[in-house]
Amino acid sequence: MGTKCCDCGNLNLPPRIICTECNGKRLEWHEFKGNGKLQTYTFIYTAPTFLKDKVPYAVGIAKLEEGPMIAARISDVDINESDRIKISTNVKIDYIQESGRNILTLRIE
Amino acid sequence: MIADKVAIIGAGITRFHHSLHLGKSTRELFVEAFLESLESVDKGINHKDIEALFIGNTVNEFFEHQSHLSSLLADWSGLLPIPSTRIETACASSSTALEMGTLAVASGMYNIVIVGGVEKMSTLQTDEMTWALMSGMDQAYECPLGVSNPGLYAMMAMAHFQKYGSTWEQLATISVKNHHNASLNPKAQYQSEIIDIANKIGQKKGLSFKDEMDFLKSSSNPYVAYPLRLFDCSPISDGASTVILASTEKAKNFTDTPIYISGLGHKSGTMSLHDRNDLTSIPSAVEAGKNAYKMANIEPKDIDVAMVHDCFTPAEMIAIEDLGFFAKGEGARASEEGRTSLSGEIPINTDGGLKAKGHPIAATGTAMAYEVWKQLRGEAEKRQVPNADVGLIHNIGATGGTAVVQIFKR
Repeated sequence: MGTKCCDCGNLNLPPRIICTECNGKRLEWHEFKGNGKLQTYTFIYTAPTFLKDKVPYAVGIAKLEEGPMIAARISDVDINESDRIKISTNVKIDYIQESGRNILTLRIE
Repeated sequence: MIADKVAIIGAGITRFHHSLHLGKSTRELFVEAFLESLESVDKGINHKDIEALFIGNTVNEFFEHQSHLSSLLADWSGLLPIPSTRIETACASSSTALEMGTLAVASGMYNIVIVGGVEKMSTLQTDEMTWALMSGMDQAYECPLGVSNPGLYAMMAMAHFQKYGSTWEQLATISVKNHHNASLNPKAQYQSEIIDIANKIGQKKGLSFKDEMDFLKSSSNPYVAYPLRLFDCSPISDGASTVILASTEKAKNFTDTPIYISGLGHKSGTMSLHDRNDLTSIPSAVEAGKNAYKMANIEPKDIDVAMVHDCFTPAEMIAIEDLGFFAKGEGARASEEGRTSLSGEIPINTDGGLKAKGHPIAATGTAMAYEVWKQLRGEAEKRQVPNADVGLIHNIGATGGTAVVQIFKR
């Protein structure tokens, strides 16, 4: 879920309080379809404490078809299948549960 | 109005290092740099002449559980009761402190101030330190994913490779260059060429490496965030740096070679990397650079020597494009061709850069100013760039949430 500006129509993901395009303060919730293209990615080997046991894991940035870009974990690809990840491949937003939190993820189509 | 109204009359830094300062705290590191900067003033300076203190520090709360550094460092430097302010703009903290000090002197409020930065990083293990430094990223939308600072720059590198055809091998040449420069710098953390480090590690492990690239591609240079490996990343360091600023009128009392602050640029950028339109450039750096060039009334080609923010090798590649030294997409090739070496057309990171000189986070900005000050006064010894009259520093917070560019003239 992100926001749509009632004044200029700009979409923001993550949701904002002030529109990044026109500084408008009247924003409403907007549900994104979750389809996008991968812009870039990496595999993290040196992790913060809470993810030390999961290295190496992939993260990437996707550009959703509605416009905004968002960062997410690439949770369904491990290091041995790393050639499945290609820039500009189609991806789908999803979520996983981790330590009681929702983590945004990308699924490679 | 502000250009050339304020000058550097002295500067000092500790050696930057990951283990040499293990027994020293933040306050001791800062005082060491401060005392060196006092000694560096050509005609001498009295402690009592200093009227204000501006210090950069990013995350001392994590490393020492100590905040309120404004008071601590003024007290321990023997500067009470002058006004003291701690400034935090992630890795750009001390160049921002230098900017604030310059504005304070230019306003007429003070004649002489000290600006600087300090970071003590060696107290935490790698995973805890990674997490502490992730406080400079978006806590809500980047950190839970576990994407680290090297991870963000790795993604910028991958996007740059895709868009411009640059390669990791080209990035590696930046690391080789910076280690070479640091081998000539007694203040640098790593004073060895990469080939010497390779041979040493080879001896220990019973391996042999043909050349630097052979070593850099080996498992002795492990991945940190693909495609970036250990030698693409600036290290953990402890250190401090300080610079003494004076109004141009007063500067003559202290030195016959003041170095003038001619251009100031400072812009803020998006907190998250994904909120940026172009992942291969840092827009705040481009704009800060333009502002600094305009104030100094010069163009990129007029810069003789520059220190840029190579927290990771792709950051230097992107910096030299953003600053207008090379066209977009050409930064990697220019580095590979030696155009940014000590003898190249625009020497970049003559002190070894963050990679080899070290990166005690908030100490980096004023350490860059220290090197430019040395270069412009002809005091850079074996790293000296001939006829260096105009220098530039480029200091970035995280992935570009803050960008500070400053220009200095002899």
